[in-house]
Amino acid sequence: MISLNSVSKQFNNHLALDNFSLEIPEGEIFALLGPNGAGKTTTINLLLGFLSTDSGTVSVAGIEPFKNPAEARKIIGYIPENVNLYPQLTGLENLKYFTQLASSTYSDEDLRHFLSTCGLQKSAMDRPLGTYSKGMRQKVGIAIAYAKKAKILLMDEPASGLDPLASKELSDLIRKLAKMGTTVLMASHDLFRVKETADRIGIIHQGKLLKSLKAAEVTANDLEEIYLGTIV
Amino acid sequence: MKAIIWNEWILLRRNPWFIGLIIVLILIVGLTSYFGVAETKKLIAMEAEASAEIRSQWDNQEAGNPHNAAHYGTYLFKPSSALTGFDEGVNGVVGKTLYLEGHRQNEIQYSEASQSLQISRFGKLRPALLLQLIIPLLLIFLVFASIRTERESDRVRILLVQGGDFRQILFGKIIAYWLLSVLFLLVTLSLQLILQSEKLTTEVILRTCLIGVGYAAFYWIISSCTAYLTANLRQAGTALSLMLACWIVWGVFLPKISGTLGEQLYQLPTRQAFADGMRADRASSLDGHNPEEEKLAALKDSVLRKYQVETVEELPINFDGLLMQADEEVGNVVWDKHFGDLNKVLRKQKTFTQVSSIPNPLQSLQSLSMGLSGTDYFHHADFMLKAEQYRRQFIKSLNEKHAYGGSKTGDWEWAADQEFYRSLEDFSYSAIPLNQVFNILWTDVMILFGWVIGGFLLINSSKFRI
Repeated sequence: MISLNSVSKQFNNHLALDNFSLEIPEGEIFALLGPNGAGKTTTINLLLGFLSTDSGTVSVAGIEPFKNPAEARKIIGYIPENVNLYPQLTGLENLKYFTQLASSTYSDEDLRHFLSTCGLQKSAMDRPLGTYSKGMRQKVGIAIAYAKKAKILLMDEPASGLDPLASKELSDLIRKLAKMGTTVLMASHDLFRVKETADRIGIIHQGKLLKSLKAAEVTANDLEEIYLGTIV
Repeated sequence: MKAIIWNEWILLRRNPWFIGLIIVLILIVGLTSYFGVAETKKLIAMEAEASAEIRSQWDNQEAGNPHNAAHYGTYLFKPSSALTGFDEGVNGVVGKTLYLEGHRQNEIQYSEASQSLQISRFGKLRPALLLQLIIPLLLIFLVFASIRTERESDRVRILLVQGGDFRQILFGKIIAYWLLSVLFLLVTLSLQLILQSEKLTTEVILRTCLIGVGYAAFYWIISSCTAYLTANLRQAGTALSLMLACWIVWGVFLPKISGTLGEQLYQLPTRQAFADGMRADRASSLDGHNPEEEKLAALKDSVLRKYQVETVEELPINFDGLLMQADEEVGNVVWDKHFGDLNKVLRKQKTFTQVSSIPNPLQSLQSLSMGLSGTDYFHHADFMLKAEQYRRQFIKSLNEKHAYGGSKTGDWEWAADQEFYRSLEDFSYSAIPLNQVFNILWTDVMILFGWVIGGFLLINSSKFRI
């Protein structure tokens, strides 16, 4: 579903991705684990079609995102670290607007259902987003991707700054979406959240994918040791 | 697109600062419109009253010599156009009262600026000033804030991933704010029409509609330029600085620079040099009060021949009346030459100003606004020309009465009766028809049109810098 093949990308003198390859099959949750500046966000930007590669190929469901961004984005949902939607609009209104942009027309009832599925309390749906916690905003962001019926969900540090409960809820939600067939790529430097959420974990450092592990086969402590041993 | 526009409006509606600002602006525009229209109505009434008074004095004058009446003269008052209350144009500084008399053409006098330091320095607060300066400033801030927030909050990525095309997003935002400014424009222009509903004519309505089109075009230019710069420049703040610089340069510096440059390229004579030139040319031509002058010999000979008499005293007509008219016509030639030259220079200056507004659409808008309101230099020059045509006909009628009314040469005591004076037509001024106004303003129209197209092309070629 997601494929990066020998991709290199350089910004001025900084090599962000260095002969980077990655394959993520449909329905898998893949976590890119790495320190700041490792190349996680660059990978996501390549998949979103915001950047072109210097060498190598990128494809999502067989589509090259940079060459055909409109087609690629039709099947992609994107959750940034901070889901800064419109604070003056309610959660419901935000969802309505963003689904309209994706050329979908849903009734308010459908939209409430999407928000509810993504874990947003009914009482919060008609409140301005400006009054939401970060976790609640992330849920609205995921509801946008869910309503879009995105086949691929790209998440950039989605759990950053969330309290443990909100973080756990987010993990559950991501797993729920993956069970429905959504392929997820999440970039993170949160070892424990990654371990709890992902099917597979890739350790990325200085633009290279150094290790790829099955989450079920390692404990959190093992993962920490491997991670520190890899990047230090 | 509809969703983007609607979303922008919802966001604005929920912004208490914006709502407060709009209420203040509507109050200001309401007050300026009311005072502008009220003042124009008062002016029109005063002009009508003064004209009636002057005419009444003329009609009720005692029977008297027509040449004395020519020296007594009459006054004309430059009529205020119905849209003076919207755009004062040059009317505040060019004067309103013109004294007409025989032998000489006087300058129009008693401008409001000459009697008010504040008006001479700042002009009057009219709705046009608000629409030309304040609404564009508001548009710059609103369009900039809307696009900058999308960029800086990183929301633009979500918008694009959700399927929003960046050009569509930009156009949607521009249209949202442009429509808002057009709504404000409609309120202002409707107020103008409503406040003077009793004097509305099809021409005034048409002119008001065309003024609206001009302003709407300018708002499109402002919105699209701001959107383009904010979306494309690496630092969004630079876009705001650039647009504010444009606002200042367009509104203050460029008009003054092009005005000064126009004056330097096409120089007007000083008032003293102009008066000296007129006096010299007048002195070198004939003097109607001096029948001994050589240059009158030909006229005298032809008249004597025509009536087959030896001396002017034998003529059945009053030769003095013919002399006065001959003197008048020479004076007219001198005036035509000097004022013609002056007008040519003024027209060249105006044309230069129009062409030099290629980099300044605000200047074109101001020219269009004044022209359609009937308050620009061309309308003033047209009034002066028609007033002079009237003066010539008026003096000619008096001279002909003097010549052919029944008196004999040298009979300065002869009096024309009151009926004659009453029979002279009063001055009636019709402003330049709309189709001719366009002949004058086409440069401004084309410049604005070019900028509007440019705005479309800019947005079409722009990219959201992420």
